[in-house]
Amino acid sequence: MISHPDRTGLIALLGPQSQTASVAMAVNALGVDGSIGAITAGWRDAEGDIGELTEHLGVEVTDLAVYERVEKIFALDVSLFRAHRKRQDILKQLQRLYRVRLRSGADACYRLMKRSEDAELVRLQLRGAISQLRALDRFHSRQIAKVHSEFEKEVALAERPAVREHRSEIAEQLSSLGAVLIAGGHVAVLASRLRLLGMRELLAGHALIGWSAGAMIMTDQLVLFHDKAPQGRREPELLDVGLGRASRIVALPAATQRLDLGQDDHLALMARRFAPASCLALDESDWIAWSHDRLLAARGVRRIKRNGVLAGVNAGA
Amino acid sequence: MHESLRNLMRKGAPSPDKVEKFIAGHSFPMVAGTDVTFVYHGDADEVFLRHWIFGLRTAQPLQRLADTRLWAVTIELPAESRIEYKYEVIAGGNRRLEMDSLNPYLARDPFGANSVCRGYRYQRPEWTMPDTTSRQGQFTRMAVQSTSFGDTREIDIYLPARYRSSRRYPLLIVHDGHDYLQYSDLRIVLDNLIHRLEIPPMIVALTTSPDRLKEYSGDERHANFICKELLPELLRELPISDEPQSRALMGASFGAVATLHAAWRNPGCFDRLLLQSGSFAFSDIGDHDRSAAFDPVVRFVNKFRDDPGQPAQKIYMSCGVYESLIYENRSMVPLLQAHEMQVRYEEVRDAHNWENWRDRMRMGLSWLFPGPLWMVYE
Repeated sequence: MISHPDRTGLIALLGPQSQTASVAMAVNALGVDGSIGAITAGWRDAEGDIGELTEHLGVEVTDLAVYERVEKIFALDVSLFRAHRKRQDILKQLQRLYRVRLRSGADACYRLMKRSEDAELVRLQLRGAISQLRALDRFHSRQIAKVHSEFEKEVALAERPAVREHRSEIAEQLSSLGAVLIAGGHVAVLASRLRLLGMRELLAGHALIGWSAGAMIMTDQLVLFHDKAPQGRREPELLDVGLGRASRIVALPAATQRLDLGQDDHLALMARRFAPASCLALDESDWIAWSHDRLLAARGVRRIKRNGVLAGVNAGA
Repeated sequence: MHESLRNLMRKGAPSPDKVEKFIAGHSFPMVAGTDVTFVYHGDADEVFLRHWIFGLRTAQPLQRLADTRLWAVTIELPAESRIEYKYEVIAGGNRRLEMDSLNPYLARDPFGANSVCRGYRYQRPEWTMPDTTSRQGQFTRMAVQSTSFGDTREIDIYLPARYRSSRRYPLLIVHDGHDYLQYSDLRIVLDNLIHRLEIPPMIVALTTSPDRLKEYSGDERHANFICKELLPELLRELPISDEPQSRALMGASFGAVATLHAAWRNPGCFDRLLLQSGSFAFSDIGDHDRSAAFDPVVRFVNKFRDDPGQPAQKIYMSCGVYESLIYENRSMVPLLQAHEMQVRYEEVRDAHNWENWRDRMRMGLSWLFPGPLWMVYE
């Protein structure tokens, strides 16, 4: 077991769990005891189907029913549902517009990486192009934050009776839990449901263990990526902000499956674009844990370096 | 000629035993880069390679190798080609078509089967093959009363794995659906692409026609059946998303003509079309030079080319470069684009056959209906 001062600041990010479930390994190694809660909202209408997970862990797991709660809230509070849909539409439009600028900004970087003029001149131009890309990401983040804040203000989210009721029920459940697991799945659905229930505040101070989308959601910013989609590669995109518990981390679940690891240019750009955050490849059975920002353990996790090369992450490094 | 075959023949005719051993030790046709050597083994007076590559002589003679029962011909086949062929064997005054008994790869179609030559760098896509980890969809059947045709049509419906009637699904209607199932592995393809999140779970309706050359050639009855009888019935009976952008129509060859015609006659009904090797024959002036079955097709395509309108928003088209229809398909693309339709067009080194259409489905379906791959991290 790995020793750490207290569990309140404990977080662990894991890779996919489809072949080799490593949740139990992480739970045991981190000495999590007591009841365990689960957030499986990313599974959408399959939420709560945690039979296999419970069997794997060998302890009782309580699903917090985040997805279902939001469904119930929407059914009761139709005006909130409409406002939420409107916000989602605005976010989709923003994402499409951001993608237009992102594509040309990233193309400029890749073209510069291949130039053969004086190395110092190329380096300066590339630095400028990456800096424009980073500015675009920051701009997009601010736009998203503005949309969320306007929505929450407009609907007075925290004051709505249905929302308050469910938040208080979740707070009650959380008070008796030793840790909360956040499963993978649809990351946008997961993010939107957690946000609606104010889970960032509710989960503060709780030990969290998340895999795939559940790992992404614990970071500051959700970065979507896939190099091997049928229609070809898309440049990684910022989607939203996360819970902010794993700060300065970009979580890349199933990296070997989703990323073209032979493309150093792409990986290098990703590393430089999101710096100072570390881009972490989380494959099957990989996991990494921190307590209050102190790295406790890292199993199999690799970091993308500025030159696009992957390097192992070691506890204590 | 392939080097190992040349080596076998270097010292004159090898013994029958040596020939048998040679055959057992090699795979056929013999692919060495872009040179492909076709080999026939048997008694014959003449042997021809019969293939379906538009642009090459249909029958290529094989040469008998010294005093053996081996016959061979080498042709140049560009990388990534896939062709279907048979041997035409003339013996004792009789002429017969045979599949290549030395080659295990066969492609079936409604007329039987052909041998398949997998050219240099062609690989059957792995998503077209059964994957035990993919959850399987289920089939159900419904009968649709058709006033247009004055009969009842049986429609098979594919429901995706983990189907729930409380959800809303996109709809794809497939012409010659049973042939797609049988010869293009449609079920495996759908199961795999849905499982891999490359397309969303969807409901797929498979139609079939008792007289496709007539009904699929630009027939008003067929357009009415699809849009005014079948579609409303499907919308009534199944949980299908209500927007045209969630509805697609697809078909190959005459099925592609039927697809385009139905959408053209009923704009706004289907916003997504998937057209494979469409038989889009037309004549700028005078007569066309195809069979009489094409008369109504040419009449429709000529009208369409005069006034395409906007039958759909997004159209995926594909055609093999070894097809006689390549010119017609190519010339359709700028026409559609000029009328503000989004078109994705793919050409491949293959011909007019079901495996070509199978191999294109991932690109076509995932372009028309992108799956949640980008958003899902399991």
